[in-house]
Amino acid sequence: MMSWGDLWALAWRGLTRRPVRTLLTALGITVAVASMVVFLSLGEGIRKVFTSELGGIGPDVQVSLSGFTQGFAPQPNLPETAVGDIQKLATELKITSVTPVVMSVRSSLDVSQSVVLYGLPAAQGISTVFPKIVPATGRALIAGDEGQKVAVVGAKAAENLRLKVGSTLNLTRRTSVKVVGVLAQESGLVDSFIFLPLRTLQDAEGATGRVSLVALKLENPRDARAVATALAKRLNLEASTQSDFLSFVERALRISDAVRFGISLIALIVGGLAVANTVMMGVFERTREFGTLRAIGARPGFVRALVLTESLLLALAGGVGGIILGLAGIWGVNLYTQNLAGIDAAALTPRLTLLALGISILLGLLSGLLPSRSASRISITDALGRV
Amino acid sequence: MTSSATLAATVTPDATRPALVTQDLSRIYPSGEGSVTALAPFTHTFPQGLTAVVGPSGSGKSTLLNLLAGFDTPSSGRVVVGGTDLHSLSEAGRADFRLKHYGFVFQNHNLVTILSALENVEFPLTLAGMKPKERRERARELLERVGLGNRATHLPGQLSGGEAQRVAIARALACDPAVLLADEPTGNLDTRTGQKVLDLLTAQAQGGRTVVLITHDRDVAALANHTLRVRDGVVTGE
Ligand SMILES: Nc1ncnc2c1ncn2[C@@H]1O[C@H](COP(=O)(O)OP(=O)(O)O)[C@@H](O)[C@H]1O
Ligand SMILES: [Mg+2]
Repeated sequence: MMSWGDLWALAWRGLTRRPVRTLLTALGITVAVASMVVFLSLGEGIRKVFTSELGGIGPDVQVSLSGFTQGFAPQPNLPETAVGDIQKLATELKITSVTPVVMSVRSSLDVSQSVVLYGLPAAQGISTVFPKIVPATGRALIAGDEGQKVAVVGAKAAENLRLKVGSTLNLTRRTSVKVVGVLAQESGLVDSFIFLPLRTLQDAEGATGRVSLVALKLENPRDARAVATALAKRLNLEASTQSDFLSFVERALRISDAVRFGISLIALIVGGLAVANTVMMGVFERTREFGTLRAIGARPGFVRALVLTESLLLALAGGVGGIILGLAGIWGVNLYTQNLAGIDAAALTPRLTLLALGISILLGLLSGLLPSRSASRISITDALGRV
Repeated sequence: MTSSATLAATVTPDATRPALVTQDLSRIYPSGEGSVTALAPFTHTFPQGLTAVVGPSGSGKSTLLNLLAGFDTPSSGRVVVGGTDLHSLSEAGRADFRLKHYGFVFQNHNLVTILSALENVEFPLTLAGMKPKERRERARELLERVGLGNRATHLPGQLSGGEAQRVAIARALACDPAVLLADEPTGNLDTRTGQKVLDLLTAQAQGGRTVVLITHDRDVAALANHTLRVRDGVVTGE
């Protein structure tokens, strides 16, 4: 039997017979795969941001009324009395810090103007929840700031809202605060946060006596699940761990992955049909040639394999092109999201690369199914014609 | 036909070559209300050497050749080569059998247009699984034998009709077949270039191959060791 190398070489020759047509079809696949790569890379990038951001920082357990059903930043609807209830259990459950938090997302049509307002007791300081963060200019929150109209802003928020130490920031029509510190760049979501003393944000939000969540640090972070379960049961509240949060993020990303994959699937199907069409035309054009090959001793299976290899090669060439074009697209997306929020929203992970290659191979095989079948069934006498 | 006897070259028989035999071989095409008997039951043992098949157009010559080759399925009867019933084999088995025992020359050269002369001759050897170096060497040798050693890298489109047909003969000889089947191989060539092609075929016949040559050219038939005449699907011997 013929070796694989010979078969691939022959298939390549078959494709290069009509270079323009082959190139155009490969380009179709390239665009389809690139769109899929860029679409799916968004989910991968966001996954990376969350797993690396929250892996070592953020609360071990967070207690709220509604868990993650309201998303990342719940309404401030939890009575502040819960803080006291939790503190009573602190020794028993080995909780080292209990921090009430008010979160509020200020979204804007211009995404770069969107920020997260994060209120926490000034006396505890930002480092209770985000231990790695340090101010680049000005200072962090101090005990005396409680209830005062001051704010410490993340690096990206400062850049996008053009804030520096001494600037004034309008929280609502009636409330404005003074920037006392700008944080060093963290390359994460925290860069878009604006930290405020708890009372200040509660007043501005009209949420006196209520908080969004209570953030807990544990003596042993590995007990998070057990502590969360105990708290949820004893206080009749939702208590979630970091891994709950990550799996919430993962679920949300899965859904959006599916939607984005669905969109690129249309492009992939169109690309696959283009491959099938090109390969089929090649088969029709070469009916006599395939008939001759069969006549001089090629098995039907050889002709089938040859056409299938052509289809595979075409789709694979397009797929590799698509990954390269996708990389360029990802670079563009990240340039934009870096400016926006200081994060790389898109990432080409190894598994995404493998998926793109796998899809290309599948596309090639599926597209080649029909043309290769009809090529292998060519009747020799019909193909050679009656002489 | 005394002249044919004098023109034909003597054949050196080769006992190792399998014999080509037909037994009650027939082909009936269904057509409209009735049917066309393209080949009436035909029993024959093809001897080594050149057998010319002559007859008017539409008499059934190609039908016979297509059955001998296993391109077409007979309505009855068998084609037996060296004891193997060709039509009892699977499609793939028949392809392997053709690769090993048959060589073909068609009226058109039917070379693969994107492959060079050398690569075309190499192709059957590639199918047979021969290593690249060996098969290249053998293909080169075969091209030399048909007088086209200097055309190895030419594409079929860059060759004259006669040259292309000689490349096709080199390709047909690649796997050293016992049987050569040629359906009007000079049909598209002028007398002079056609003669070169015929010389190559007769040379093969002398070496002990069974060459079946379809032609309607009487001068060509005169070169043959044996002649079969076909008329309305009925084959008669010399
Ligand atoms: N595929 C076919 N279907 C129907 N009739 C056919 C077919 N092939 C050949 N025939 C008929 O069989 C007869 C012999 O044809 P053929 O063998 O091609 O003749 P030749 O090669 O001697 O010119 C002709 O009458 C032709 O019309
Ligand atoms: Mg004919």
